[in-house]
Formats: sequence, C-alpha cells, structure tokens
Amino acid sequence: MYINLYNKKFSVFLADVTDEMSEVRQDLKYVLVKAGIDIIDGQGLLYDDANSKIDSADCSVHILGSTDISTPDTPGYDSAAGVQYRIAKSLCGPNFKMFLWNPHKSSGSIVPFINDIRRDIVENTVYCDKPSPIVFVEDLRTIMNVKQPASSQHESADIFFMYNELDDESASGIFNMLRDVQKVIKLPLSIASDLDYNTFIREQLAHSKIGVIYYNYAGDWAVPFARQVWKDTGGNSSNTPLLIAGNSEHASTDEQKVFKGIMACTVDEQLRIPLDIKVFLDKQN
Amino acid sequence: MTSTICPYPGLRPFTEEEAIFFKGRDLHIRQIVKLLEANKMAFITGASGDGKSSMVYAGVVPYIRAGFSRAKFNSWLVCDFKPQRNPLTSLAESAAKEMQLDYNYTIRELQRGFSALVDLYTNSEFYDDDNTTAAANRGKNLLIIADQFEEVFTMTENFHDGTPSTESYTTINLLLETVRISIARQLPVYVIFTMRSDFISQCTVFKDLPEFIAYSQFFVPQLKRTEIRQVIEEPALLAGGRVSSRLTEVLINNLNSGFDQLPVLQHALNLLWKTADNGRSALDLLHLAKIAGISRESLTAEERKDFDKWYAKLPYYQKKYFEKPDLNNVLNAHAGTLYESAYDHFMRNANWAEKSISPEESKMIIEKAFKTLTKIDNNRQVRNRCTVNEITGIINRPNITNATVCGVLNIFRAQENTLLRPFMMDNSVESQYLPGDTVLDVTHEALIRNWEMLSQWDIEELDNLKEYNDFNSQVQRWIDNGRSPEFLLASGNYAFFNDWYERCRPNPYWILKHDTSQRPQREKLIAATNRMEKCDEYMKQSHEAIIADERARRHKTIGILIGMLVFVLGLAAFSWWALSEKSEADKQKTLAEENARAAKEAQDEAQKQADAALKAEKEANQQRDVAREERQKALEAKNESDSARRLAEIAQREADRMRDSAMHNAEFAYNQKLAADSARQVALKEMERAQRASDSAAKLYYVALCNTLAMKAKNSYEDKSLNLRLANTACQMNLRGGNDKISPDLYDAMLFALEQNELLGGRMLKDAPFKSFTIDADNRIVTIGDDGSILMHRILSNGEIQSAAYDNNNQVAHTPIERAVFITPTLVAYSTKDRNSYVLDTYANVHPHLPVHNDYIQAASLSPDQNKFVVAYTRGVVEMMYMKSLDKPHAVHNFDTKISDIYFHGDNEVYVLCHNGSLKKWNYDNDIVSDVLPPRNDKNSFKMAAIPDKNFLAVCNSDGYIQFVNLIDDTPAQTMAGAHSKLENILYDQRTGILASSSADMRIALINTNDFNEKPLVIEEHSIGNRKIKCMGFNDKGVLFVMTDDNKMYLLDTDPVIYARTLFALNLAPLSPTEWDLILGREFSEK
Repeated sequence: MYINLYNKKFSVFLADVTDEMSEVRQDLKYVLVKAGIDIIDGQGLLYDDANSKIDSADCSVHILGSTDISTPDTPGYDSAAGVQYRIAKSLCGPNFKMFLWNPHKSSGSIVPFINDIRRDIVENTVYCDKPSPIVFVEDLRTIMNVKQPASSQHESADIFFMYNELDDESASGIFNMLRDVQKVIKLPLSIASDLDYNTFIREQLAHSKIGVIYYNYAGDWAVPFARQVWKDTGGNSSNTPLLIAGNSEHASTDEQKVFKGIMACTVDEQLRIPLDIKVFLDKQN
Repeated sequence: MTSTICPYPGLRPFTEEEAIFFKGRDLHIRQIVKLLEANKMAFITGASGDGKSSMVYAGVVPYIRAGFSRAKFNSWLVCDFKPQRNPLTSLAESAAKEMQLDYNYTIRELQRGFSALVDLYTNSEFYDDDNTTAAANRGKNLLIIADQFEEVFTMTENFHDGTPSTESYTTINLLLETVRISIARQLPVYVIFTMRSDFISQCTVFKDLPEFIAYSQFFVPQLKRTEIRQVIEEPALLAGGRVSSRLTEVLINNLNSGFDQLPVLQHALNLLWKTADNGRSALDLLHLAKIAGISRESLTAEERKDFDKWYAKLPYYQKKYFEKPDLNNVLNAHAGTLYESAYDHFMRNANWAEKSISPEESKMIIEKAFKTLTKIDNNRQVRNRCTVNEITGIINRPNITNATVCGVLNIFRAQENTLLRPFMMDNSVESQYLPGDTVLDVTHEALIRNWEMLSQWDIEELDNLKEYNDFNSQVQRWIDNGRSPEFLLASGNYAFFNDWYERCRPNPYWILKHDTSQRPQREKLIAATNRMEKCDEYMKQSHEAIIADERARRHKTIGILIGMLVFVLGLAAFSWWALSEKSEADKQKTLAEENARAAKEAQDEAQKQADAALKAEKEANQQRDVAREERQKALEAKNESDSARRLAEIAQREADRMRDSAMHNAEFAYNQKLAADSARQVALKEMERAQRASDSAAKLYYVALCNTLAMKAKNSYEDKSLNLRLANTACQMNLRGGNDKISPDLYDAMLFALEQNELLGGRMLKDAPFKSFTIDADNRIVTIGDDGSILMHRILSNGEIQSAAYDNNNQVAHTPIERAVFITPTLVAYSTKDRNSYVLDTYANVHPHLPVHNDYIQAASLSPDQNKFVVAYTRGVVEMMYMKSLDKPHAVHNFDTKISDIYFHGDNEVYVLCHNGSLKKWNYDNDIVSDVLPPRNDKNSFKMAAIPDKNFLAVCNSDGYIQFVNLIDDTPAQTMAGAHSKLENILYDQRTGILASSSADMRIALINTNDFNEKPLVIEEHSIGNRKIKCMGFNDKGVLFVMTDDNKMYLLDTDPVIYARTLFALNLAPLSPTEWDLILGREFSEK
C-alpha cells in the first residue's frame, strides 16, 4: 500500500486576523508547526511589507471571522487582515494558492459576507469550513504536496504514431510513408515492456499535433487502449486530437460505435490509412 | 461548449463503457494492478459506497485491457460474478459464457472444486502454452472478479447460523485454489474480490481465506481533497464541459465524511449536469440551487432573480424540498419528486398497461415496493432484492397487476433517474413491462439512508414486523394448546391487532419477505401461505369468541337488572309490611302497659315466695357440695381417657404419613414408568428414522452409481457391447435405488448404447428427398416428396420399409408440389408449383380444390368438431371454410405479415403465429383480431403445438425457448428451455402427454406436460446419426418418428422404460470385477 510521506517543503503565509479570531489563529499556528510546515507570520504587516512576505510564500492562510475583510476598510483604518486578504487574492495563480478557513458556523449578519467570499472563489482558491484545525491543515498539506509530473525531454512532432507490436510489419509500412512528408514519432507497445506508457504517452502527445492509434490485427487491444489514452490526456479538453485508424480487412465498423462520437476514427483499406491520417492532420491545421 | 454525454453516472456504479470518465482513483488503480501482477490476486475491501465496484470495472479492467500491465497475452477474458443466492451457479454461468463452454458441463466440473476452474481455462482455446507472438495474440489472460463478495454472508442461502453452505464453500475453495495454482505454474490467471470491510471478521469461517486476505488485501482509501476535486472537475473536462471553482469548493465542503460520500456526490453531479443544459453551460452554484443543494441566499442578486422565476413555476409538492437545501438533500428531493410524479408518468407512458388506479394507489404501490425492497438488518437499513411477482403479491389488490407495478415504478428505473435496477434501456414494451420473475433492486443503499420518506417507511415496516412477531407468537401458543378458546385474543388485544391487520394487510408474500430460514423459496412460500391461513383463522375465531363473550355479558347484565328490579319490588313490599307491623306494635305497647301494672301486683306476691326460696337454697347448697366432689372424680377419669386418645391420634398421624409416603413413591414409580415408555417410543421412532435414513442413503448410493454408470456408458469403447452392459447395469442400479423414473442421463446412455450397437439405426425411406410426413393409426407413413410424389410406406416385420406411390387415378400431384402440410394423419393440404392448392384425404380418396390464391399454403388446421377448416398462406391471408364446401371461403382476413403457423380453437377462434414472434387471435364470426403475444425484436417464432387437454399452446422460438400460452385467458404462462439453439419443430402427443421439440443443433427435447417440473429427456444428436432433423411425428403408441435430412427414419420411444426392457431382453453379461475397477474405480467394486 502506498503511503505519502509529505516530504515536499513549502511555506505558508499566516495572515493576520480580526480581534475575535486571534485565539483561533494562535491554535492554528501551533498545528501548522506540529505538521512541520514553515510559517511566515503576517501579524500586523501592511501594504509593502505584507506584499513582500506574501510573495515569498507558496500559499497564504486567511481565517474568516465576523468582520468583512473582502472589501476595503475606511481610509486610514485599514486592518492588516483586510490588506493581506486583498494582496493574496491578487497574487492567486498557478504558483500561489490562497486558503480561506471559516472554522465557525456562520449566522446572522456575517452570512452575506461569507456568501460573497464563496461566490468569489476562483481557481487556486481553497475554501474550508471544517471546524477542526487538524482537518484544515491535512487538506492544506495534501493540496500543497501534489507532485507536478517531472517532464522529460520530448521531441516535437506532427504525428505521434502508436500501435501494438503485433502489427509491427504493417505499421512500419505506414510509418515509412508518413515520415517522408511529416515529422512522425512512433511508439510500438509491447506487453513485456517496463516502460511507463501512461506518462510517456501523455507527455509525447503534449508535444505532438495529433495522436494516431493504429491497428491491423490487434483490434481487441486498440479500442480499450484508445479509450485509456483519451481519458489520461484530457478527453475533449485535450489540445491534441486523437485518431484511431484500423484496417477494414480485419476490423468492422462496429468498433467505431464504442467511441460514441467522442473520438475520431477511420476504418479503411490498408493503403488508404496514411492518406486518412494526413487528411486528419491537415484538418487540425 | 456542445457536450451532451453525461460523464457522471449518478447513483449507479460506473460501467466499463463509462470508464473514460472515472477519475480520482488513478493511483489506487495502479496499486491494484501491481498487486495483481505480483500476487495474482487482490482482495479489495472498503466501506459501503466508496466505489469498490467502479474502481474494478471502470478502473482496473480498462487499464489492463489497454495493455498497461504486464501479462502473457494481449487480450483478456473477464469472468465476473456476484455470489447472489447461489455463488457456484453464478461463477459457472460467467465462466461458461466467457470461455464459450456448455453450462451443464462447466457446473459439473466446478462442483469438484480445487483445480477445476484452472483446468477449464488451460484446456480451453484461450490458453496457449507457446511463447510465440502468434500465441500471444491468440491466447487470452483470465481475470476472475468476485464482486460484492459480502453476499456470501448476507444471503441466508449462503450463510446461516455461522455456517457456510456447500456451494459457498466450494466457490471459495475454487477461487483460492485457482490463485495458488496460478502462482505455482505462472499462469496468466488473476482473481479480484471486492467486499465490504465490515464482513472481514466473518471470513475466518473459511479455511485459508484469512491467509489469502492478509497476503493480498487492498483497503480502499478515503479520497483526499485533491482527489475529490478530480472526481468533480475532470469528467466534465473530458466530456468538453466545465465546473466552476466556487461550485467545486462548495461541493467539497458540504460533503459529509463517512458513508455515502461518493454516491451522494455522483448523484448530485449527474443532476447538475442535466440542469446545466446537459453540460452546455458551466456547472455552477445556480444549478446546485435548482436541485435543492444550496440556499438561494448563496447566489448573486442576478442569479437569485433567475432562480425565483424558475422556482415560481415549480409544482407545489416540489417546493417543500427547497426548505432545507443541502447537498445531502438533493437525493431526498429527487426521489421525493419522482414519488409525487410517478402517477402522471405512468398515465403518460405506460400505454401497454391497464390504467385502473388512482394517484393514491400509485403512491401506495411505491411505498409497498420500496418497503419490500429494503429491510432492517442488525439495526441497519439495507436493500432486499425481490421479484416483481413478490411485490405484486405483497400489494395484494385485485386491480393491481405486475403491469401496473412495473408501470408505476418505471420512473425510478428510467435512464435519467436509475434509482432502481434493472434500468430501463429504452422505451420499448419489453424494457418497460418486466417479466414477473425479474429481480428488482435499489441501486445503492445511499438512497435508503438519504430518502427521508423511505427511512420513515422502513421504521413503519420494522414496527409492523415487531407486531407480526408478537401476533405470531400468540397464534403459535393457540396452536400449541390444541387451539383452545382460552388462548384466543381478548377484546382489547383483538382491537389492537385488528387495527394492525388493516394497516399492514399481511399476506403470504409479506411473511415470505421476513422469513430468514435457509429453505428453498418455494417451500418458504408454502409455509408462509399456511401461516397466513392460521393467522386469519385465529383472527376469525378470536372475533367470534369476542362476539359470543359480549352476548354472554349482555345476558348477565340483563339478569342483574332483573335482580335489581326484584329487589326494589321486595323493598317496597317490605316497607309496606314494616308499616303494618308498626301499627301492630303500637297496639301491643298499650297492651304491655296494662300487663306491667298487673306484673307489679305479681311482684309483691313474688317477694313472699323469695323468702321461702332462700330457705330452700340453703338446702340446695349442701346438695351441691356433694355433687362437686362427684364431679372432681369424673374429671380425673376424663383426663386419663384424653391422654389415651392423644396417643391414639399420634399413632394415626404417623400411619397417615407412612401411607402418603408410600403413595408418593408409587406415583413416582408410575411416572418413571411413563417416562421410560415414552423414551422407548422415541428410541423406536429414532431407530425407524435411522433405518429410513440408511435406506435412503443406500438408495441414493444406487442412484449415484446409476448416474456414474450412465455417464460412463456414454463414452466410446472399443468393445461396443460394453456400452450396452454399462447402460444395463445403470438401469439395474436405478431400480435398486427405488427410482421408478429414468433420468435424462440414463435415457441418453441407453440410446447411445443401443445406437453404438446398431440396434437403433435409422431406416432408409426412399432415395427421393421428401418435405414432410405423417403416421396414421395403422403405422402407415405418408410422405410428400420434393418431386411432388405422395408415397405410402409400411414398416415390415423384418424392419424393412415398403414404399408405394399413392394412386388416385393420377389426379394428385400432376404438377410438382411446392409445399404440403398435414392437417390430420390422413388429411394433407398442399400447394403445387403453379400455386393451386388442394386438400387430399388419403383414406376417402378425394382431393377438393381450394380457392385459388397467387400464393402457397403455409399452415392449416381443422376445427375440433372436424367440420371446419382454416388455412394460412405465406403472405398473410387466412381463410376459413366448411369441409363440405372447401372451394368457398366462409371468412377471410389478411394479416399483412409473414405467418408461421395456425391453430383452430373452439367454435370460431383461430390462433395465428406470425414469424416476428407475435401471436394473434382471430374471431372470424365478427372478424376481430386481438393480440395475445407482442412481436419480439430479438427472436422469431416458427411453429406451435396445441396442448388441448391442458388448455395450453406451445410456441417455439429462435432463442431455444418454448413459450406456453394459457388458452383460457390468453395470457403468457411459463417459458421452458426446449433446446440449446433455435427450435424448428414442435409437436404434442395427447396420449402420452409428451411435447417434443427439435432444434437446429440436432437435438430433441421431450417435455412431460403432466409434470412441468420434471427435467426434459433429451435425445442427443448421435441417436439420429448426427443429421439435421427434417420433420417428426408420433404414432398412436407414443413412438416418435424422426426424419433426418439423409432420408432416414428413426423410431424413438418416448417412454424410456421400453429401452430399459430392450436392454434386459438382451441377456447381457454382468460387468466383470476388472471392468468395475477399470471403469468405475475400486471403491465402487468393493461395495
């Protein structure tokens, strides 16, 4: 069984709070320390000081109390909590996450403020209303420990050509015809290989204009394989369209039905398949 | 955004087809695949609703099929099963289907346990031991999935009182042994179990299972926040849609931890997708508000306006679900809305059902159905699978049929809701109107826990059960006490239980639902019916007793009233008497005063007399002293006599005690004697029972031996007489086993043995091929040849067949015959190639011409009184005419479809079987056609046979099943498997009650219509020379004549006893001890 050791180091900017939440903040601080997380304390910091400290952290934590910190305060009476909230919100993006913690059940006049905050949530903003600081810190640690896949070097290509090694002979013929006119990278898949196909395919597809899954005899394999690749690479949201191409001598049009219109496919004579692939590529261009 | 495919399945698990949208478990899927690669098995455990099944079917299976795991072959066989009520049968069905094996063979093999499953696989075409590329492409790895393995413990048929059934034990032995052998021999066989973790402790009852669990367990982890985010957002992205970040955060935060987290979320996402115009809009808070998952206050002002406008149009019953909006309320609101709108849905969609119910009855049906589909087990609400028949039985109203129940519940089965299984795949009648034995099941227990109304119903049902148990114990006490009136219900209790009776309306199906014993379902139903009768009788008698009691009390009250009246009258009389007495007393008083005066005078006189008395007293005192002395003497004498009496009394008491003790001892001795007598009686009964058991065991042994011998007799031996001797010995063992019936296996063995020794061979009729034939009472065979010739054949005493052309002055078949059908053994209807049709009576030697059609005869039938005749032409025209005027049709109807067969029933009704499987009834008097069976898209029908003595019509279908139709009310009755493949012929012999059907795989099934529970006899293809069956017929002795396509005729007795006698008559030598040892094994010969 896999156990996550959470050994990725990151720093948290612990934002200032309004008075009624100072005790809660102190408790949270102890929990963060026990969780082995580096804390950048934002108590009392305003404007530039706050900006530089928040900028140096990987994420910020803001505890919501009974005061509206989302809208600017009266000039001259800006609270540190409000200033820090607005700075963090402006920094929010792929490299900086903002955590909003609302440990108390909201009621009365505070409800519209909390609703405003929740309505305003965008990507990379995390809202948590679980009362336990331990649950909140567990979530924070999980989110901050998500590993970005290590990207290996992949060659850019027009066509990423995948097939089962059983069809090596016919696939090589197609590959040879295509590579004369386009830049093609091929991947024969073998049941005995140790290669992490998921990762390799995901990354190579990101560097290719189209992906082609070709089958001649290995029709039983091609359909589930294409579905798994489609799923792992973002489906309809993917930037690299997939084409599944089969030889009509060994495949019936029944195979097309399983795609339910979510993937492009062609079942044609062996000789016409390179042309189909070229037409598909040209359409994407 | 243009997406329309919903990537969220709702409450049901993901299918393999939907695997492309299954996200959030990528890491866990890889871990399970690694476990399989290393250990050949994975035992996946986890809480209810954490997606174990989805993870396997939509995660692991597609992953390995895609070739992302290391294995011997490129392709996979996935043999999956749920234990249900019969785990071994479920496993065998799946294994037979996947490995393309015969089911009977598969189950027989699997019952032997251990390596049986591995052997089936390694001997199949899917396993190839070569290490070549061609082998890798040809072979298939085997993955066995035992899903919902906890059913081994939850079903009483599998596990009762802490003891597993034999089937459960064998299944687990097979699976564990398969893993063991796969590891040892490095076979590409893998086993996955999925089971709820709360049953893990019970696994210890199975030998070796705990060790295997410890060896390869995978406990499904709870999803982390990042993974739940993937579950929410990524399927939408894959399908080309989008979920707003703020909705994701609200969903994550509002999700309760613990049970039902994922089902509740998936269900909400499914509704959100549909609410967001099937994913064309980004899923957002407004959509969540519209499914009652968040309050309107959480929306922006603009969204609120939109929401209010939408909310105003909602029906009143839906609005109440918006009072407590919450993520966990979404399922409650959805189910509640379906409950309210089921009636309208039923009225709008179920055109095939009779709509004779009210909206209240519709709700009652849903309530009763869901009460039946759930139960409380160990204080937990769980699902309880049951059939449509059981639900209709529990509802128990004359106007509510299976069709009504299906029609009302269909809204819960619809594709867009899927709260009830089986789901409705389309809007066809077949999909909507389920057969009565279809098992319904709540899709997920999350529905039970989150639908408030259903929770309430379950509590009511639990109360009903408690009250029933209380009532039942009173009924039992009454029965145990010889139905004594003293144990009937008192009026207060009667009123209580009568009220419960009205509310609960208990009936046998309801009692059956709560019967947790391990008996077969049929026995349970019989017991429930008996119990219900007793309950009804108890209520009735209690009611009568209470009425009698009340009548007696009324009489008593009247008596008291009369008594009181008498008393009042008496009191009045007494008062009158007292008054008169008072008046008398007054008179007496006056008289007394006068007397007092007189007394005074007398007193004075008395004083004088007293003085005289004093003197006399002194004398008396002297006399008294003397008397006192005398008295003292008398007292002393009395004391002596008292002492003597006390001694006598003590002696008497001692004697009494001794007598009591003796009597007690005598009574004790008598009781001991009675007990000894009783014990002796019990011992005698036990001895008798043991003797019976011993006899039964011996009989069973002989029957088992008979079966073994029969199986052996079906093998091919060099010495063919061995087949005969084995079959003969099997018959003898069958007789010794006291079995007066011959099993299908023995029947087949006898046929095989006789056929092997050429004692059963077919007789060549004539070289010219023929279309059809019939046999009359004189064993005269009439055939219609392909060349148009009509031939008569007789079987001679030497076994040869003499054939002769039918001679009718050359008037018959002057043009080649295209098509002919036999109406009776002596009556033939035929069409010539020039499309003229005739009826030929082979006895009366007449052949009138039928009305001319540009068509050929397809079928014909004679009325029961033999005066009328009906004929069907291939293109759909059906004509009725009187036998005396066959050239003039009396009635005609064009059915505009291809007709397969026809049957004349009663005075004026004709059943018409169409090729598309539909069966129609034509009343030619008023030309009304009614539908009896609907058309079937998936199969065709070719022939039918009437069973007039039992009022059935048997229709044979292309799927190998025979559909029986009840001719009394034209309703479909049971279906029976006729053969393994397409049925082509069917005919009925009224004398023996045998229904014979033949199929495309050259087998004949003989069904005994006198007992449908009896297993049909099957004549295997080897008994008819492995040839295709062309036509069949019975003679008047019940012998089946079978014509094969090589023009041979086989005579087969439908009474298996005939073959047994044939074998006995051959005087065969018994099996030698060596043969016993070689063929059957030493243990049999020793016995």
